[in-house]
Amino acid sequence: MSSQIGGTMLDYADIRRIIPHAHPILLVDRVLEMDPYDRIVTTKTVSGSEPCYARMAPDLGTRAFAYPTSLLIESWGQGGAVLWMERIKAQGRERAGSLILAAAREVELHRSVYPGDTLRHEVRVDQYVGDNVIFSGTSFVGDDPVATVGYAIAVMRPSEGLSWEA
Amino acid sequence: MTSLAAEPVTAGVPETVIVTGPKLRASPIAAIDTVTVLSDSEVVAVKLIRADDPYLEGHYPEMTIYPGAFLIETAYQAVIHLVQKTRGPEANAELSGLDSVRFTTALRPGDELRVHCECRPGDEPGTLAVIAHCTTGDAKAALLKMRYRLR
Repeated sequence: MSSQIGGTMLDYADIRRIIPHAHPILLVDRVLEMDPYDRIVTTKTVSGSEPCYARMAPDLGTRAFAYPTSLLIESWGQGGAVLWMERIKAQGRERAGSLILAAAREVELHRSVYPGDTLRHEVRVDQYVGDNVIFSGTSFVGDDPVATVGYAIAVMRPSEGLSWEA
Repeated sequence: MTSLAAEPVTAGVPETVIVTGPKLRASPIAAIDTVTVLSDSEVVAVKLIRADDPYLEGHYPEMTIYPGAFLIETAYQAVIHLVQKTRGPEANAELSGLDSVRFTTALRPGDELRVHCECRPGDEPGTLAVIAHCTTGDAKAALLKMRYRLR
């Protein structure tokens, strides 16, 4: 673990060593808290310079710049991946295959997120089942919940034959 | 199925539109190549997965996989196209919830994703309920059940 930045438990350099995601889709900036291996709190600051804001038409209104839900969910899920990969490392194992979102249910999107907002993702692992993990949680901007995920399952699968039934 | 439009929008052979030009809302990727409105409640989008699509170089460096979350984006872009076709170019839709999404096949560069969305008015006024069947070739890639707020 490297430098401590204002309550940061793991910084960007640490995170990119832990999960396989890489720029520009590594969507976790910092880990603030981690209860091994049941709960994690991460942050991601949204910036107007990200690729999702490239090549937009001129003179658009505010709503056009809402951070894409697809990236919000991906960013939230990557917090779960950090927790999961830290657990695998603590078990003396190595990641065996790709991490894939297999299913999600009861996802509610409460409000939009814009450039300049810092997302704080709370992810709880509800169950580890072999090479699958079931998790849930909430994303906030400040004290406002912006999204809740009731149930998500991610799977680790060998690189060959990437088809499955969760 | 209940109509979304005051008048049917399609007559005769559905027109397939090639999606080009600057983006009108933030999106990680041009998630549809072509889109075809089949009726005032059905739309089909097609997307060829490319290794050089934005964001994909990092997902993953060792092997490119189209993220499951991006299938939600593909369906979203198809639904917006249908909403604007049926309700006018100023109309819009925002994703308000995912009741259930289930991914069964990972998509790799060279795979052609086909997303068939069935849209009906949601339980609450001003909302839309969408079921998206995602396939690649003969394989099921995902089934998405989503809710949108109309604007």
